[in-house]
Amino acid sequence: MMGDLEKIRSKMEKDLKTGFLSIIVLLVISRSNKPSYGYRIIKSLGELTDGKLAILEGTIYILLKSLENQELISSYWGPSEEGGPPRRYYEITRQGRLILEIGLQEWKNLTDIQNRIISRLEGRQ
Amino acid sequence: MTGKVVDVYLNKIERELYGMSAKDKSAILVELDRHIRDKALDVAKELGLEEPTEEIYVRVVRDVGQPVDIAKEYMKVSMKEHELEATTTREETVTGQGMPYLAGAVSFLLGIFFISLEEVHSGSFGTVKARPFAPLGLALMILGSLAIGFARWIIPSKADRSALIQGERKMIYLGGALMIIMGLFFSAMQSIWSNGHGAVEISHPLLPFGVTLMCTGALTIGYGHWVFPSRAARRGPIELNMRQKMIFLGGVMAILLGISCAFVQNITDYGGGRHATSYPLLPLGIALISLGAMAIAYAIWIHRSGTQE
Repeated sequence: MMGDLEKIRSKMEKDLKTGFLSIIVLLVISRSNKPSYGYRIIKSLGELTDGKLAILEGTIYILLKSLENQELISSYWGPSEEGGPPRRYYEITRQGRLILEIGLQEWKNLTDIQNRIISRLEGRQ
Repeated sequence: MTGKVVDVYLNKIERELYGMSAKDKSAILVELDRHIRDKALDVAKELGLEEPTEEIYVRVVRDVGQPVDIAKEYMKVSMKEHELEATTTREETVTGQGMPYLAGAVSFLLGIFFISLEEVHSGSFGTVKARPFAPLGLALMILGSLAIGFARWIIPSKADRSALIQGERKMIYLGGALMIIMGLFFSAMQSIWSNGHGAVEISHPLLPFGVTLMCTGALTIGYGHWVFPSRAARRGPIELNMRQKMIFLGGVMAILLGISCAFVQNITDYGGGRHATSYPLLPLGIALISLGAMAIAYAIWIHRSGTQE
């Protein structure tokens, strides 16, 4: 029974994260003062959420590849600041900025709706 | 060196992501390698070590995620990309429907070929020996119509096809394998008839038929490879209706072919009295009807299991 609950919770969490993570990653890349690369993006996500955003780090690279395929970000190989092998750096594209603006607006709307529903239902009790 | 554990881990990921293009996979593996190296160094620094230890690598690799989970994420992302592509191109993409259309057209042509053969043989030899090819031709024409209708109805876009999963792939492979086996069967029958009975005029059409079936089978298997590149994608959520329809169609096709083969047996026996030549077609017909019934039962079973889920 507990196993089932855990599965349901896990699925719900994944469903809620769907789409949300793309927007977050686009946001981090677009607002970064330094060139963005995978590990830096993941570290930023950890810092911004105080480690509360539980994601498998490896999946971020899949997401980055997908965003690149959709031409929302572009990438290039460049020398590493700390030395060592070159890194792949990511930049948001013009189309990516547009999508980010739309996504943020949608996200705000959804959060607003969610808050209204919760506060009104809780107000009835 | 990033440690043996990292090499093993990256090898596993490489195997799990074999649906991904070599270029993308290589880029992701390089990035993951770099990520693990960077994080392991950070962790080592936090612990006051100069170099990461094997234990640190194990810990870092755990945070990066199980290869199968990364493959699942890739599957989900690629499915979404296909869906996105499908919604934008669904109405305008028709080129992706080429294969089912081609299969339909080939069936139609074969049907016309067999029907015309009937006339030729009847005219030339005045016997009923070639009569069986009329129902075979008709059955092929019906199949051709079904395939073309199927192309329009079930596969609206190339993008959608790319998102298909395991069940369909199996069905396409099975279809290809069946066609090749049938092709070999008909080609072999040609030799037996020619050598054993010397009735070349009766068996002559079976060689091109066999060769055509083998070519179609090879094309179908190639098509399976081309349409379904990703193992990770095959692990994705099952589009139940699509799979069901494919299996149902496979079953209906097998039954029609089976009836056609069994029908050939009866007419030849009755009209020509050449039992030896027509004999192989009855068991083939029965086998095909059984296969068809099994495929339909399987589709119903899947549907019920899926509904329960």
